Amino acid sequence: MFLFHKSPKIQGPRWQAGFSLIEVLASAAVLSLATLGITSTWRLADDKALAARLDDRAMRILAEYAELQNFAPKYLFGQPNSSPGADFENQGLPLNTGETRSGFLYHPRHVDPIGLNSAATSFDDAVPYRLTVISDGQGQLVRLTYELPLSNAKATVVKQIRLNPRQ
Amino acid sequence: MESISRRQRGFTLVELLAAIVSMVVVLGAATGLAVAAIARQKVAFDASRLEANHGELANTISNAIKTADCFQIFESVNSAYMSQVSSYGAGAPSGDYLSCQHNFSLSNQPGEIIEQDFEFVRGMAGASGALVQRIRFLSTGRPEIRREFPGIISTGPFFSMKNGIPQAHWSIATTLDRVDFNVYAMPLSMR
Repeated sequence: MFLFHKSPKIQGPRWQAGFSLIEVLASAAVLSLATLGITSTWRLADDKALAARLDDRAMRILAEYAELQNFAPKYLFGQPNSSPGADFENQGLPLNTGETRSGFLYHPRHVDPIGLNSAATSFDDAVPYRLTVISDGQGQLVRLTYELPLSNAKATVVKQIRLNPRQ
Repeated sequence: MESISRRQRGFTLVELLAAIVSMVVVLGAATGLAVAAIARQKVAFDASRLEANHGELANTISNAIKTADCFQIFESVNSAYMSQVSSYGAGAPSGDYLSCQHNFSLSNQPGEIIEQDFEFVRGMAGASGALVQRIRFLSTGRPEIRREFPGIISTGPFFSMKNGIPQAHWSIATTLDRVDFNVYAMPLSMR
């Protein structure tokens, strides 16, 4: 018996007729939805992981600066910086009230578009932050601000830490 | 008995092959997704673990400096070994070796002197280095405690006294990115 015989009209039970167009389209739609769900879940997980990592780093930078502001000798305050604004160049120099310093929270590995993996690893700069010291009625605060780079939206994150009053 | 129904005849070879190929494709896709997810998870986990380890190292260095009765920065481990325990001086303005001493003494009894040393061992030709922490119990002679923190990339000196503040700066290269660490601390006796 031939299974694939030519016949203008398929006569017989349902299992001999194959799948209808609706069935194929429905299964394709279900598979597409599942794929979309998986990829969007991955993207959400990536966003959450990056947000957690940036939050951790922001808190660490704030803590580092709180220590620096607390321990820096008084004569260092009010001194002009050699390269104002850049955080990396001002290691060890405390911030004056109202002064703003900037840097990057995230340094992802550089992706080589050509695909050549060089031995020397290089890193990009991403997620800029701004650090400033402000005064309120109760004392001084170090404030760190950055934009959270979510895949579908952007959100501004502000974190601050209160400094111990200097003796 | 010529008229055997289709249900009783079973599957043809083509039907079986088609079913097997379909199952292999579906299983392959599912396995690929699972392997990719596990690989991504491992990359993120390794990066987080390395960063957490160095966060702990930053806290350790900060606490060691803050609670030290005396400390000194040496240019290298060689200059540190040439120095005597009781002869901490002004030290080098910057270097790859930090030694902190803590004297835990009770009122009338001789206390215990504990020395915490941090030595940055540079890697060969562009490779990452490691920071070695040693805790020595100088007065009791207990065996030293040693910990190692690998994966450090540092071009300049690890420790310095820039602007009169004891500080340490280093970076690590995780599987995802580079993370910078800065430690500023001041011993209680110097505040």
